[in-house]
Amino acid sequence: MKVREMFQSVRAWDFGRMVVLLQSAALISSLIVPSWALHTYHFSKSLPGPISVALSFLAVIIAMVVAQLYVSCVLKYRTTVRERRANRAKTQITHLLAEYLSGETRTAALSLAYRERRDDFAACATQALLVVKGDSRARMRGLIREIGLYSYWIEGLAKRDEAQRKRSVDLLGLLESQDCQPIFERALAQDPSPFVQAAAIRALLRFSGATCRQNLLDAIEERPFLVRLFAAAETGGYPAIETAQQPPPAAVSEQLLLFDRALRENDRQTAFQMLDQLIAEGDARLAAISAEALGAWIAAPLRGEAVAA
Amino acid sequence: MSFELLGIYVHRVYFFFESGIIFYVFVINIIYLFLVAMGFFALRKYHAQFSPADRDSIRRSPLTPAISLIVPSYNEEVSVRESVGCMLRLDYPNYEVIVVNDGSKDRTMEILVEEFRLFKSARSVSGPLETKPVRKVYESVDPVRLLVIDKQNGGKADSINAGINAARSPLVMVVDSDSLIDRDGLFEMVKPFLEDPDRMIAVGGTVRPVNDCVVESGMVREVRTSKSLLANFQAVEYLRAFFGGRVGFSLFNCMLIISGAFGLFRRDAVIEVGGFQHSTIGEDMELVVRMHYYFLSRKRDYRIAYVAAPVCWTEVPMSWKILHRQRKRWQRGTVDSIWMHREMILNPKFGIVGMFSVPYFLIFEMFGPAVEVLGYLLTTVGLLFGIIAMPIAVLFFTVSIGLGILLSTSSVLLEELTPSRYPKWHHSPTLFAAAILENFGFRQVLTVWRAQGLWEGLRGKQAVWGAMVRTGFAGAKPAAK
Repeated sequence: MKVREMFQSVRAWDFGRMVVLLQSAALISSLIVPSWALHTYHFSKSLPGPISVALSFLAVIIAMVVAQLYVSCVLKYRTTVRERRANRAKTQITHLLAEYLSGETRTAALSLAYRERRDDFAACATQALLVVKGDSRARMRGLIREIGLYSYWIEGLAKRDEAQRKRSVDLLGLLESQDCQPIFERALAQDPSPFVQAAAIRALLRFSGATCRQNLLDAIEERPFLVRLFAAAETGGYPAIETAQQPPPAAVSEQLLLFDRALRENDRQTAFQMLDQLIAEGDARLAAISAEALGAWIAAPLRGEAVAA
Repeated sequence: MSFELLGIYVHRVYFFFESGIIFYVFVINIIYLFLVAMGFFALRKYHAQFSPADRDSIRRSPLTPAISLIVPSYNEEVSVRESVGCMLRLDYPNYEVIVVNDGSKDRTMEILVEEFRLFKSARSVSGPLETKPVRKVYESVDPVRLLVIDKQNGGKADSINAGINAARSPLVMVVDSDSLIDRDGLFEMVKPFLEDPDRMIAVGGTVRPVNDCVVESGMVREVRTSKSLLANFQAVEYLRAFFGGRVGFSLFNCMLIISGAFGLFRRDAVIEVGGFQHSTIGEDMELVVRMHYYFLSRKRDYRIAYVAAPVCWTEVPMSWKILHRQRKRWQRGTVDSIWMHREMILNPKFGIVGMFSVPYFLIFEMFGPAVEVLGYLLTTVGLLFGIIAMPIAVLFFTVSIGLGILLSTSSVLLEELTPSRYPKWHHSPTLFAAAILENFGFRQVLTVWRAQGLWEGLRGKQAVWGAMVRTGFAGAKPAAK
């Protein structure tokens, strides 16, 4: 076990540092080697030594600076274009999802959207999972499995990149599905990253039963601080255990969807009605978020900004 | 005959020195480039941010560590309203703001009392660190976590120590009163402490110039390049210093500087090492070096880290005179810090800090400006008197200026890997132009100023802070209609 732990720490930290050192050395050699080659095989034949070395360096430096400027501009431009496209795509996907959740058959269109813009679809699906409850949530879960997003997230668990593994655990956690329990337990027990472990315990505590929660919290002292911190957030006071949270009634999720749609379609009257109903339902947090969104939506044209739902 | 022999000797000695300086400048630039390259890979690998779900968990968790923001303030009537207002609007579940008025002679105190509706507080601010006497303590009437300590003038380090005494949180953050922090900056700053709470003792964030950015309600709404070339030169410098040097040093736990404008410390560790030092003008660097010294000499495991994502926006000098004073002061800080802890130099007891970081700072950061100035002088004089050949001079300037340009442009490119980056594509040519142009005059001027700072430091001349002329954030740039 100790050897394994040692290997894990070496892999996670020391090996990582060595890799960064080697990569940096390789990058620096991309400056030195071409300069040396230019000096040796080209300039030194016709110029004095120091001038040849200077010119070789200068040529490589100019080439690198021009390349860097090009890359910098292109990256900024591409990011802007991508953001614009992603916003457009997300609006369409959200509409499709809203229609699908309200009972219409939109599976084919959603599958196409998933194939074409996987990341944007994943972002919209995540948003939907965060707000919908009850039957709509079950429908959303079914859709995620049907179109292959579930498998995509599962694949992410095996990635070397810590951020990707964590994102997969986070997203699978939103499904609140009992099938995922072994996945989270494995991540909690075996993943070397405290971030992945923390995401796993958050997911487990959100949907597991009282016994499982108790077992998790009993064994939590040995976990990294971040894991304990996330666990405390879920239990509302570490190490006390609360009763499982009741999901909000399905009506709330429907109102939220209708509220969202009303904002997108500039239907202020419906938006206000839905907000009234949300307040009446007694979910203060959701009502506050919705009121804030509505306020921002109303204030945007007054400030001369584009209306962003 | 003897004159000819003397001439030959002069030529040889001159050539020896010139070659040595060219080699030195080449090595220093290659090391800088290596650090920038490390920054490139390390930023991609180790600087992932918290997701919204993580932040939600941190907000709700009772285990989230509280933070006391300590804002030393001296004659800051122009910017204190905006900056303290900004600090009170940060997105973090558990923090307080402690403004320490260091005997300001302007209206700083009155503005604080009026703007934040302060009343006299009975809160005790005594603590283990010695400071100048505290005159009064105020708290805000509003339900905001603001404490203002009005004390006799004792300098920045003294003010910070008074703030640390008054702080109730396990973590203390030192922020300049002319700075604005990203609204969610505390989440990212606290991240290393959540990852490694037992060993982490200090974390530094990124500082960037705010000049000509769009500031609204104490928040930077739109990042822009400045219309002033001087500000853009400094923007490039900041990018180079933070994304190049600090990322690389942090990777090997041998970072010697955490900016005094934006650093998060474990309170008990700062108190244990004796707080901020009054006797130096570079109290931020000195504290970090002392922390290394203290923990390494006691063989205690610790970590000092840098995180790239959180940004503290600060007003950079727009006048050459103030810039001159600032750079001399920074150099004095480096000289003081290295001199005070000279025992660490090449001492294996202090590990990589003693064997690499401190010698690096000694050779390249402390004496670097002197060698570079000597190089420019020797080359120019040698050319004028025909002692060195033109090819050697060309080689010197290529190595010095060419590699300097590559270093600056690489740092600008590194910026693409971090959030809060300059968003528009046309910002790139502006920054690249600044990165190139700064090597033709600006950098050389800074080198001379730094050499002056080194000279004053070696002579032991008393350092002074000097006044920074503030323009404030509110009137700097209104939001676009």
